[in-house]
Amino acid sequence: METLTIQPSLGSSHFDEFFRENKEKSDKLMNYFLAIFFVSGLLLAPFYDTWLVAIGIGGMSLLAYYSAKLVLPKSNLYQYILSAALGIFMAQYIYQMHGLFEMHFIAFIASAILITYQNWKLQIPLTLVVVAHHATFAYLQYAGYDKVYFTQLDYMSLQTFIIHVILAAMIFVICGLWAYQIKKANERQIDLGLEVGKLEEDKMQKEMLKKLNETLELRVQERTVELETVNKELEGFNYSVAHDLRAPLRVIQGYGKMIMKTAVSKLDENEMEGVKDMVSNAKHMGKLVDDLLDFSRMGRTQLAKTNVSMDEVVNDVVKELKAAEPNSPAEIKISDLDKVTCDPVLIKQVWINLISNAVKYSRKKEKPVIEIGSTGVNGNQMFFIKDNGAGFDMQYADKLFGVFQRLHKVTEYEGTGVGLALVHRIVTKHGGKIWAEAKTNEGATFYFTLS
Amino acid sequence: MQNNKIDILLVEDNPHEAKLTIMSLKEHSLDNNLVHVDDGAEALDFLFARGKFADRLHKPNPRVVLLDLNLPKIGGLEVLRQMKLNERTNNIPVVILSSSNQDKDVVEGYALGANSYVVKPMEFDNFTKAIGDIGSYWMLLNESSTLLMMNKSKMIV
Repeated sequence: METLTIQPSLGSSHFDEFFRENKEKSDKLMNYFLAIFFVSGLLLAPFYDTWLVAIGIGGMSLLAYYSAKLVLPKSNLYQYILSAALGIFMAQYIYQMHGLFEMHFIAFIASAILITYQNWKLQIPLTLVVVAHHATFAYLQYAGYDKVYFTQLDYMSLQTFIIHVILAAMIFVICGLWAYQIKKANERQIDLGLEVGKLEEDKMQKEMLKKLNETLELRVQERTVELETVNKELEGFNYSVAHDLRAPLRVIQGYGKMIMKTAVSKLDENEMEGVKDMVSNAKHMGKLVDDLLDFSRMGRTQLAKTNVSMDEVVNDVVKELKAAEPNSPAEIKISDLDKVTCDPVLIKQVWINLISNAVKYSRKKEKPVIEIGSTGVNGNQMFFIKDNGAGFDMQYADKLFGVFQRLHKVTEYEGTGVGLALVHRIVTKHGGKIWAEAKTNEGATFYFTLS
Repeated sequence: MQNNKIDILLVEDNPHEAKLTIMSLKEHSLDNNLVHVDDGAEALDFLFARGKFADRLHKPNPRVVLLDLNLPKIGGLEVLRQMKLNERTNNIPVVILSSSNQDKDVVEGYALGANSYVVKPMEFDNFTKAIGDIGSYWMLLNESSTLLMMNKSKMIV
């Protein structure tokens, strides 16, 4: 069977994923670049004996970078420190080479390296360091301080100065721009990929739905045929049960009765008892078969609802039960019962079972009292029947309405365990609920609603 | 079966049930002129005087047929249908005696022209009483057209 699965929508988390990967790759590259920068410093040291500067300044740059990365791994601060460190390396090289002009170009390499993070703002610390360095050292050198080693030029013409500034500014701006552009391009690419994926998914889902709808009709038809067949089989089964199980039971009972009548003188007490047991067991099984048939038929019966006077139904049932058991000591009190929309035949069955149960389970009391009534308003009535009989342990209340479930021994109270299951089925079929409250030896109250 | 006058035709395949039915009729002394057949085909042979019952051609019909539904070969409802289609047998009262109380069977039984539909009571005492009541009613209370026809044919002869 096909199932529809809907992917959770992918949002900004997908950008995060991409830029996290990019950051990790760039960070790895930086390890190499920084190593190269540091080693380059060492290689430049022999020219003018600048070992202290190479190890001291270069080491401090590395220390600043890695400690920031270690202490604040989630922050991007270390990248800004990297940017500044690269600027400082440029300054270091210029100093180490005593103002060799080409060493100024290191700033351009630094600017280009930073593009990999796709963040134009990383150009700012580098620019600031370069500007601060140039301004300070140029001022100091031309002010006459020696050992500043900023430039080998004896003087800086305005033209040289302007070209220098423009070149540097252009490089930094362009590198920043590229960083920005690459980032935007990547974002668009991801968006587009998501969009396409989503469209394809939508299309697939639509196609699947279409296919499902097409097959649904067919499947419903198939299932209906299957169900009808099963239903027919079930009816056939019920028929066989009714006919083939009842007949032999009647025969056993019949012969047993015959023996009891005609062979009294030939049987001793034990044998007679055996025959009696045989007959009563056959009788009990017959009742079981009948009850089960009623129960299974209930599953297939359509409700024929009309406006029913509950008063009349209950009074009829009580009258019939009293006629069947004229010596019953039970006192049955019926308070006002409203009219209700239900199936009169089935509801009568409910009352027959509930009232005869109440009579049965209270017959061992000295003064059995059964109260029947209803509460609630029109359309929402709750009916109840209360007795002061044997009751039951509430611990087993969930078993009360199961088929063949009994809470009392057959030797104490006869029965098949189908009656309340049948009642439950009828009430549920009406869309109602049935439940009970009881206390052992103090009585039980059954409540039910019909909607 | 030598007896010319048959009052009751019992169609019942279960020999024990048949025995109990006959026993119950005996208690009311209604078993004197009774024939028991145990499948639908034999029942039709008897009623239409065919096969081994060919000699019954000019003998009177039974006054009532007690018909079980679940029969071998030809089912009870089919027996009933053929009886009602045949002029010779269509006015014999038929009492369906069934173990089944399926609504479908009851409705169909009456639709085919059954005169009565009785579900065999589960309990033996009730069963005996029911069979006795049925026998008494159809044998003693009910005015039979079979007898009338017999008298008429005698008069013509």
